[in-house]
Amino acid sequence: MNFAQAEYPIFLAIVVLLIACTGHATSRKLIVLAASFYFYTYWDYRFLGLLVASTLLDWSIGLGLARSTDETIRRMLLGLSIAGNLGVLGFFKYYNFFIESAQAILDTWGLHAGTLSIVLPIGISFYTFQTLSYSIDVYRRRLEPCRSLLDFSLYVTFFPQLVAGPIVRASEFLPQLVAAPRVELVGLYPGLTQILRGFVKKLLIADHLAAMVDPVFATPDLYAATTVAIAIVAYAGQIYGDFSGYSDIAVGSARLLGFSLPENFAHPYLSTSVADFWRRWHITLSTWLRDYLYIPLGGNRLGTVRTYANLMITMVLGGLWHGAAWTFVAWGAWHGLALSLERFLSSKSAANRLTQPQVFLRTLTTFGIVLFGWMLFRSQSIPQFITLMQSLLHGNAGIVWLPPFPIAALLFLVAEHVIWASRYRHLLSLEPSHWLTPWLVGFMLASLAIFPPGRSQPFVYFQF
Amino acid sequence: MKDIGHSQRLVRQWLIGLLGSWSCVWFAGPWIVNSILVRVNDAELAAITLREGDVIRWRSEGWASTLVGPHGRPGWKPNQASKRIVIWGDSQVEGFCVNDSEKISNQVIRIAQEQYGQSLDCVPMGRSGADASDWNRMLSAADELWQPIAHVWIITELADLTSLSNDAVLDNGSWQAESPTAVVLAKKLHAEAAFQTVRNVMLEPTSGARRSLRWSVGPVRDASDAALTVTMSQDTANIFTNVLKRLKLVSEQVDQRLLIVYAPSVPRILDRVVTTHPDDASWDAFATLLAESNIDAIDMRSAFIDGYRVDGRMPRGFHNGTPSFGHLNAFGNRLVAAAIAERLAKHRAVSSRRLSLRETAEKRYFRRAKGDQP
Repeated sequence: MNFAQAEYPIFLAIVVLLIACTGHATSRKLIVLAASFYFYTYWDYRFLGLLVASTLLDWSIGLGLARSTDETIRRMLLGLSIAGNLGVLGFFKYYNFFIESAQAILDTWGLHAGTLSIVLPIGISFYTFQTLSYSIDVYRRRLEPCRSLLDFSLYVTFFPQLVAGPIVRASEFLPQLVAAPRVELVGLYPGLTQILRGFVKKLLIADHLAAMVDPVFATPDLYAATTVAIAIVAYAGQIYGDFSGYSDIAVGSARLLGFSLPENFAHPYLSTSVADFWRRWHITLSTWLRDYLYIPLGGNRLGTVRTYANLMITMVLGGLWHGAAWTFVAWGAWHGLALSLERFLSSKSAANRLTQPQVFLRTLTTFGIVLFGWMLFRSQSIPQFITLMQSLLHGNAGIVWLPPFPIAALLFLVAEHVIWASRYRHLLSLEPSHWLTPWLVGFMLASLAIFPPGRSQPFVYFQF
Repeated sequence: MKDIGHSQRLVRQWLIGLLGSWSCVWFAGPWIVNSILVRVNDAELAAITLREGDVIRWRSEGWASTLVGPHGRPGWKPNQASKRIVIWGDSQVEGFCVNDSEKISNQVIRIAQEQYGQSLDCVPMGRSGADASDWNRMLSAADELWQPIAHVWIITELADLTSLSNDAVLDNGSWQAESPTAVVLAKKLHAEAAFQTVRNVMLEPTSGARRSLRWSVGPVRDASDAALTVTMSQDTANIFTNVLKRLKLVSEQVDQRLLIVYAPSVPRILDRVVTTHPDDASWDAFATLLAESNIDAIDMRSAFIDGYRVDGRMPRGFHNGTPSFGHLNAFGNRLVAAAIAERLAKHRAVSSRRLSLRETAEKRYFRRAKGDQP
């Protein structure tokens, strides 16, 4: 099920009502588990087996790791978890990519490897990372294994975060099962307002921006440079609105059921450096990559060269996690390069407190770097990226298209960021006792009702 | 007591805020969303039409306003020209997404005057969703009412025409339904925003069909393939023969004053600029049959494609839409209008029917006085 579908609010309301009316704790967990399975099979029941298998594998491995004291067996169990999770992910997500990429080499030997017609199971990149982090944490003895299959299943399949995160650590989620799921009055208002904020970001901003982004990115050479430039900035707005909107709905929905999920975004376009950007963008993925890839690779402990190499490896693999295409690899490499360069420059200059103009300039520079990255990220191929770059340079030859709704959505997003950066930030938290909050909530509801997008777009991160 | 006072203040604050914000939206509604369309019965045309005098603001593509003229004709201000044509079509002729001066009918009047010195009146008989079977049904009423020198049928899809092959089946019931009282009341109360909200909740945004919820598990089968197969399996040749037969009758009925304008959606921007249309071959075959039957037709495809090649402008699409998709824009309307005006001038279709508006009005007056049904 897609959060942006009309069915979702009804589904969520039914689940919340059932939880509110059920006294028995295990029954409440079973209700949420059943709801999660339904939520997943609503898209396609055929991949439920994969989800169940992944759950059973890591639950059993967790128990095995707890029982065994033999390091060789423990290492083998961890290897099994890694091979199982990454094997499934590799097959469904990367098989065709690697075969197609290797075909050029195979051609020289006269060999032909055929690709397969594979459907990418929704959410696979997210739930494999969750189960993998669980097994690694149990192996490292940082986490007690979960003995209850019901609790562990709930951790993996919990519907608000199942298909596109946030990537929740078992250490954050499992302790909450002592009390949750349960419906409390105190959680309703923050949960509902966060869901509302998510719908505004997705339906009013991201989907309206997509109406401009999709046609321009499909044929950038036909449009004037002004239109292409606006479309590139619009894509930055779209992907932010889409994914942070999704995360808001996920976190808000979980909150209604008594769970606290980690926030995934913190106004990343106000970052003053690329490193800062990665502390604010898709936070649960970047911390996952830091804890389970960058640090195990040696992090910054093995000298300057290894630090830069580790940064590059982490970012390239992070890029590849987003999708099986060379544009994602290039996007990851671009960020790795930017982070390395930034690290190099900061090591040469003394850390001083920045003045306001310096902050502004650095924010603008970081946004420019991120924007260039988005051009790679959104392009279907490297040649299309080159066409996009050329379109930016060919002046105003071509169709000048200035769609008012996407431009208004973009301005709205800019205004929201300006308010967040100002001393009026508290207004955006929608405090129930503030006199302006009912007006803002009223306008948000009215805008959603009057200006829904012409065509609801699937969430961008569903494809990852 | 302090808590109760605080709660009361909070409730009051929320009531004021929600009501206040919704009131703002309510009052701003007529400027920011599409107008409510009120349809009434027009006895003389024997059809359901828009209400004369209404101003229709359209926001979903162009940002335009339309003043509804006599007989519910969008953007029509009758002039004193001695010659008149009637342009039939669907929402392209209705033209809500462009201002009145940019509608096809008014551009024909202007171009005929400026380029050919021909004084002309042009009645736009467009309605969203209408097709040839609808126009055929209303032809005699329009003929009697306006005595035009030509009837122009604007076809944007071949399906508009093929409906003529069996109009008993494809009868469009919506021409026969007046707006319910709730709609009239909503229009009176300027409740455009509320009306739009109800529409968005009840109807699918793209198709306009009643919204339905799905609760079964997936995967969902795509129905589009099946629909395509049905369309392709139909006997195109038979349909064309039937349509031609009916068109000949229509043409005879209006003394050969029928002009067909084919204005399909080319060029389109897909992964590049596509200058062909799936119906190209069908239209070419049909155009030959039309020529053999002495039914006049204009093919707008090359004018549209040249318009883009020369001016870099697409005939369809708006800033508030997608370039090359949707309705004809002011530029596309101008191309169509220029082609019509040129053809009219070429044929010197100044027929013997010289009936001024005043005469038409007198005729109507006497018919009413005698109590005749139109």
